[in-house]
Amino acid sequence: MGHLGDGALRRLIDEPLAMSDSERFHYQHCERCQARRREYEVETESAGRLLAVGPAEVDTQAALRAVTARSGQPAPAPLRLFARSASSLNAFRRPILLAAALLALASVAVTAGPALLTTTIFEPKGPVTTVTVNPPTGDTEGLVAGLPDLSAYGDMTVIKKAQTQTGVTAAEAASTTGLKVLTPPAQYATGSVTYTTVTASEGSFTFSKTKAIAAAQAAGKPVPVFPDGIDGSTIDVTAGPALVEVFGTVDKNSTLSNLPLIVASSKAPVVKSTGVSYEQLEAFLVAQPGIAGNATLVAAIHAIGAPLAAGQLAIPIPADRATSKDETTSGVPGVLISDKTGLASALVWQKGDIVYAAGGHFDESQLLAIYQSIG
Amino acid sequence: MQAINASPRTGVGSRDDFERLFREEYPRVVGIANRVLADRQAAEDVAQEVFVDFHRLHRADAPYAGPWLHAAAAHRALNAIRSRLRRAKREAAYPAPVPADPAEEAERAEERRLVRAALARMPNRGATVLALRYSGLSYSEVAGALGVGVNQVGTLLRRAEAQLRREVERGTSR
Repeated sequence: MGHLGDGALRRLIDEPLAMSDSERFHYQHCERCQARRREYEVETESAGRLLAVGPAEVDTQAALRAVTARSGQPAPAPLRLFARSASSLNAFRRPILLAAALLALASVAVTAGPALLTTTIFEPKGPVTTVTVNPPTGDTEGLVAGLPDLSAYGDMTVIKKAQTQTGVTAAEAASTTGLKVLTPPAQYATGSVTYTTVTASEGSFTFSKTKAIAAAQAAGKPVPVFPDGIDGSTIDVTAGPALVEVFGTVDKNSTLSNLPLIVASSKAPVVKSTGVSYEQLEAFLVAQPGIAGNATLVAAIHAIGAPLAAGQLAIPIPADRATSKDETTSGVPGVLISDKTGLASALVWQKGDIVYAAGGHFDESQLLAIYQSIG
Repeated sequence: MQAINASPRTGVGSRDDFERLFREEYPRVVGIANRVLADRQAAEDVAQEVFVDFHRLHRADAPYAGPWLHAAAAHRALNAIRSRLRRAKREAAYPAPVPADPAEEAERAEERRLVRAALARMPNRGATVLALRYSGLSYSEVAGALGVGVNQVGTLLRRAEAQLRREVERGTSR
């Protein structure tokens, strides 16, 4: 086997029994891995010293009384059972929906913390990261149907509509978007090149308790939960411009096994939010019928929310369909996402305020070669 | 305000469930917040806020209760130090009180401040993994709180430790 990874060596320091037999055999005979472990141990001891704190002895009984006195709300409805989704697309749609909602939440957290705000901006600085989202278990036919339709929770206003143009020249694409046209190595960029541009767009969403309740009642769904402060607050999102370059043909006959090289770049989204704190918005989301009490969804929300709150774009990865790993090339951190069949992969990275992606029917080494050429 | 009690909506025994959860997890949740804040009283405040939120939103017998509380404690404590640092910046124009403690105490306080500032600058995930692991959570528990595979924890931890060192050095050189 190859050398042990950073994570395995780090865990060896804390939990040596967690090592597999093959890892242990390699480690015992590999001076390089042993040296790396010693190096990591020095850093671990250093972190331990830095993070040392005094004892935190607590009076649990007194604390319980204090919390009991402050808790005025009843617990939510019992755990819900969900049905299996028949649509494979829905398995992707839900994490994306959550990511979009959490992107808005993160916009508040980045610069605001828990305090109430009037305006806050989310501007991801990178690196891009991924969050594995576990698929729902059990019968999920009703899962997607049971989720709240967040678009019915208020009023959407399109301030600036995106204009899409396909078949423009490289010069026009660069001029329209202000983005650099990327030129990958010739051996991967076979076939004709199609440039598609998308201009910047802007929209705002204002939460409306009245509208949400009416929509839920009309659809025969559970009444949404609106904690104080949500009703009337507004989220503004600016996205793009974006440029997509397809080196070959993508049509109805395209599959993962013949997907050509696709390179995309886009200005990272900017989000502004008014009126409510991060905690309020996150609590709002996890309290909704269809989400509250569902451990998988709540875990996904928190998992996606953490990097977003730190100012990173987070890409949800359905655990049953794709894998991802961090990939730093030429000093720029990115993520490599691969579908589980191994037929298609994509590399995503961020430089400045531009997010880039390159993907297709390529393996990791090919994508890295493409990245090194254009990244 | 009404007190926590068993009701038709919470189900019979929910009060017992909450008390059991509280007794099991409160010291650990305080420990996680204290690891970030280095301030026991502030850590208790954070822990109590976390439990109040949890009670409002979730059943005490939810299978994800522990991981939720652990992650929330770290996130809320990190938000608290970030707010504290912003407040300190705003108040920097005002003269600080003269410390009554000797130089050694001042040195310790300065190191605590540097580490807290470093944690505040780190990405949430890195700072969270440090808070959880150095509060004594196992790799499996850290993975549960972060929503990642247990095999990813070592990698996240390794990166976070290196980043903590860099951030502290950066703060020292300022």
